[in-house]
Amino acid sequence: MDALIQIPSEEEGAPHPAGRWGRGVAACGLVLSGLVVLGTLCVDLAFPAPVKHPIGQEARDLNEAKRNRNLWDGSAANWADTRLRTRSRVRRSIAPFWSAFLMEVLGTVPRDLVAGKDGWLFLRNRVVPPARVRDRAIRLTALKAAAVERRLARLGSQLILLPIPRKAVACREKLPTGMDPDIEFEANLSKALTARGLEAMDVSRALAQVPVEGRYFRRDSHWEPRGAAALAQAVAQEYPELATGEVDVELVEERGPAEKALLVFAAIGHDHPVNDWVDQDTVLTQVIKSEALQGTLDEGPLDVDVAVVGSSFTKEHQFAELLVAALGQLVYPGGVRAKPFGGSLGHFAYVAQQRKLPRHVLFEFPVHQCFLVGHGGKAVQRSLTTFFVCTSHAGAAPLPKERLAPAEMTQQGDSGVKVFFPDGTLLSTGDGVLQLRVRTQTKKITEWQLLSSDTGQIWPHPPGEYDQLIPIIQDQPNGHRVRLSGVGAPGNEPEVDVEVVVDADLDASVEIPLTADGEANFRGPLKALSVGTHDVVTVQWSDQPASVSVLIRGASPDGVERVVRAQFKGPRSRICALSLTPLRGGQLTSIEVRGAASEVQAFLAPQLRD
Amino acid sequence: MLLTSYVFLYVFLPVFLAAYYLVPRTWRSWVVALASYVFYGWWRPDFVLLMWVSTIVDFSCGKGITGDKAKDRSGKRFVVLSCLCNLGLLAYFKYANFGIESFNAILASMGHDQVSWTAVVLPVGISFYTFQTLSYTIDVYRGDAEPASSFRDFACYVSMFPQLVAGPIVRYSSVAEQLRSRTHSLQKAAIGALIFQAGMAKKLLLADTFAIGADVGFGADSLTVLEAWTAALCYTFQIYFDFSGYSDMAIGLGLLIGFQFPINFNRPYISHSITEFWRRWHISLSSFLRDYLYVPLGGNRKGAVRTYVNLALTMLLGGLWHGAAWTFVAWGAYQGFWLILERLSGRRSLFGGLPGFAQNLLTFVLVVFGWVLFRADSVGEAAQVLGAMVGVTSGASAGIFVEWTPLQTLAMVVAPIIVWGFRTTQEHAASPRVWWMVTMFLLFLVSLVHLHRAANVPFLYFQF
Repeated sequence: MDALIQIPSEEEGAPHPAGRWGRGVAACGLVLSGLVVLGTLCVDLAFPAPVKHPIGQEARDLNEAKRNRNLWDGSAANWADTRLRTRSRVRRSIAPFWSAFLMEVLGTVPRDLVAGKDGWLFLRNRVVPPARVRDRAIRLTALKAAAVERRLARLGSQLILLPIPRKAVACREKLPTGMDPDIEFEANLSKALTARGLEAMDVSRALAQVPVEGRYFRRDSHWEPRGAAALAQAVAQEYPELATGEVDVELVEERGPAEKALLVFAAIGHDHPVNDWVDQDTVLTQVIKSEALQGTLDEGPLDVDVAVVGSSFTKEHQFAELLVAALGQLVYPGGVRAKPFGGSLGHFAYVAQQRKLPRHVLFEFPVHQCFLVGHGGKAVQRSLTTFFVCTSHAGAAPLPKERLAPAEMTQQGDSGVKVFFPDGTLLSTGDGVLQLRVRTQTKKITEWQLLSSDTGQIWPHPPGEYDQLIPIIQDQPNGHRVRLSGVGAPGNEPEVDVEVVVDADLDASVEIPLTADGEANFRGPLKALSVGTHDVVTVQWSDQPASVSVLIRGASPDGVERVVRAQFKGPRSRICALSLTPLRGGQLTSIEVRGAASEVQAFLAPQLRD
Repeated sequence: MLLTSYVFLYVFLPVFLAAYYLVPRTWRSWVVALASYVFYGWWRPDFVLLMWVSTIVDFSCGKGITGDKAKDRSGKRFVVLSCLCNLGLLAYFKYANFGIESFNAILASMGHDQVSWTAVVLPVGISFYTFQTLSYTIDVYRGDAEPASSFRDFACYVSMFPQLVAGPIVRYSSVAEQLRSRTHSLQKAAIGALIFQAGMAKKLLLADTFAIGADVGFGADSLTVLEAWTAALCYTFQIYFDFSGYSDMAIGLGLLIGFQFPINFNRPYISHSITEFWRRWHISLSSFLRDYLYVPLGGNRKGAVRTYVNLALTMLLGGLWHGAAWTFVAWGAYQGFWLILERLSGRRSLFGGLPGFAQNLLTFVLVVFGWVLFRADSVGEAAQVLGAMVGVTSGASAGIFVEWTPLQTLAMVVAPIIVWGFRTTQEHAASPRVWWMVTMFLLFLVSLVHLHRAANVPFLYFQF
């Protein structure tokens, strides 16, 4: 090997530039380099740049750096470096020019973005659903929406869902050639919502009415006013009963610069001059001409027939105003920006607490929010639970205790408490038909969490007494264990009383006649039954079967066949509740119960009425 | 601390250089050592202790060997102690996880319970500084180097931050004189700055751009033939510009404080044979392996068969040095195979009869195949990419070209020009022309702005 590897001979002495010229240039280079470095340091130390609303990579870096500042694992070092870098005045002043050059000339954007055709930008994490949670996201969104719909129906409101397709789907022709945004995700979500009996508009069809440039902004993640207007018109056409025409609204067009928040992800800040150089798109915005009407709308009138609650798509893009114009009636504008799925509903329910809700609630949500639902982070767990907490006055009826397996309660010192319903105790379709009435009393701020099949609901409470109605939302499998926990500071001394309730008038229930069809197999009824939209079927038995499965067949009023099915392995309780919402008030044609053998009975109960 | 981090470039380096040049000459080595401990401890302060252990043990061993020799004893026991200590540290921190995982895999395949184990964190640069300290003891034992006269100089040698974490592996004998006394001049520092700037540009503008294509390709479930070649080429250029970029930065930093480190890369991709490639690639490692492994094993002095065995063993261990994974072992075996084959052929190159450019091209292709083994996360993944390159396992597109940008195209055009058309940074720096100096300064400015825009991407060789 000595013949194989040789080190090139090193020249004696140090390298040196030849000639006076060379020496001069080398020295100048060194001095200038030093000045660049020292100048940057001095400017950054003397005039640090404030970090306002960091997003994208910068936000992630800062959050990561803040999370743990431990000297021994490198996180403190990372924090120091990140802090210096993000507050660098020189960096914030100069880097945008380079970023703009890279983006406009060399087509290169940071990893958070996808550079599409014609300068279109897309957020990478919204282009393709994360494979790990894709299907779960669809299932859970449908279950949560079903629980919301049931609660709203109980309070006299109809829920209309407006799932806004992702930019990558609505404007897929602007994606790089060959990039697949998984358009099936939107289609499957729509199918899942419909299968749960939910009213969901086909927003894609409405957006298709305008050219692709009118659906979304080129360099923003929100819809363009033309897309919002098209959807508002579509709502008026699809639901003519909402278009009363009582209010005469005149819209005027204003031209202004287009939204371009995605440039910030490309490291070109809002307030940097290059921001305007690289993007000079303009947009025509429709605004209400009448200042008085706009003022009323800004106040958020609650005594109206229609509310539109939603994300920044509604809050910051005049969707409520466009709806007012399209429907000809005042609309409660319930847009809330930067909240996960259901956050706007929670805010709406909080504002409208103890008041009569509008008869129609249009719930707009961008489909990409479902990804977070699939992940199930804490922010998502909190956002929608606020809605259920603030509408707990809806009320529900207790399920017969003698048929329920007992829960296990554990006191966690004087700070917390845990109530555990083992597998097979709470048997339902997991869509909020079964609920827990949770009466609590604590002395300290307490965070409550209801957890089942990795699906959580969190609601914090100040000290005091509360009576909450929390739906049981369960991903597969049916009848999975449920854990309720409340944790506060020492001295919390929590007291909790939990009752299993169902959103049905069990006193008004009628028995569905079942006939034995072989051992451990029951069928019924002999003729089809008309059912209400939110009726509930309860099935009970008296033995301890290894598993029970219930299959309900029926049809919606427009004749589409629907099924409701649930399978409970090792049921400990002897009663289950199934929501008939998927039948949408049509007919129940058959019910089949397998597994249970003794005293099997089924009842049809209407939703509670005040 | 990363050489391309804000803290290093704008805080650590100016403060260090100011301290270095302001203190009396005799204190400068202490300043280097102390700054190096801060540099190294910035990530994990507790790992500085490891370096201190290595420093104290090997300094003492050097003294012990000298003492033994003065009493007509060989001093072998101190060499053994040094080997046990350094290789023990390396074995535990670098290979324990790998050993236990492999053992558990065997247990699992036999249906036995696995051994529970808390993964050990690999201290950055341990492979480099343990080799350096080991070389010191061996050189003193062999009489190739004088023992360090002062602990200050030795501590400075072991900890020297420019090349601490990713080489080049500097032997004590090559810097012993410089540790005692070195010259400082504006011209030397200016050239150092230019070399540093060249390395920084290689890393930030080229290596990180090639990383995009390599990451997509090597993370894909399936690749077309063209994509597989593109991914492999991307990694081939990425690893060269990344590693040689770091080496340049280290050499440049050394010159800034008066040290001259040996060249580590000498245009490896222009080689006409694998043998020549190893003379040009990571020269400080290959010469280390030659002098401290291949030669002690007998080298080529004990017959043909033994020579081949020694070559194979050297390359296998060289592969394993890069990382505790079977892919590195496979890469070492692959390199060893071609070295043996070339030796068996009796010619300078396996492709000896062909024109020079063809020899170079074919050798380059062999090197590219080797890098696939080196980059893949598993042997299976390597087999899949290699299969795709030859059309055996090629399949659905991974979408490498879906987001292929003009910047990547530009890098693909520029890289071969630099690799085949330009001399090495050190050759340019030996007698720099004005155009080269101006270009390096401008590239430095662009690199700084680019660095401001992008998140830090660690150097590839940090993991070794």
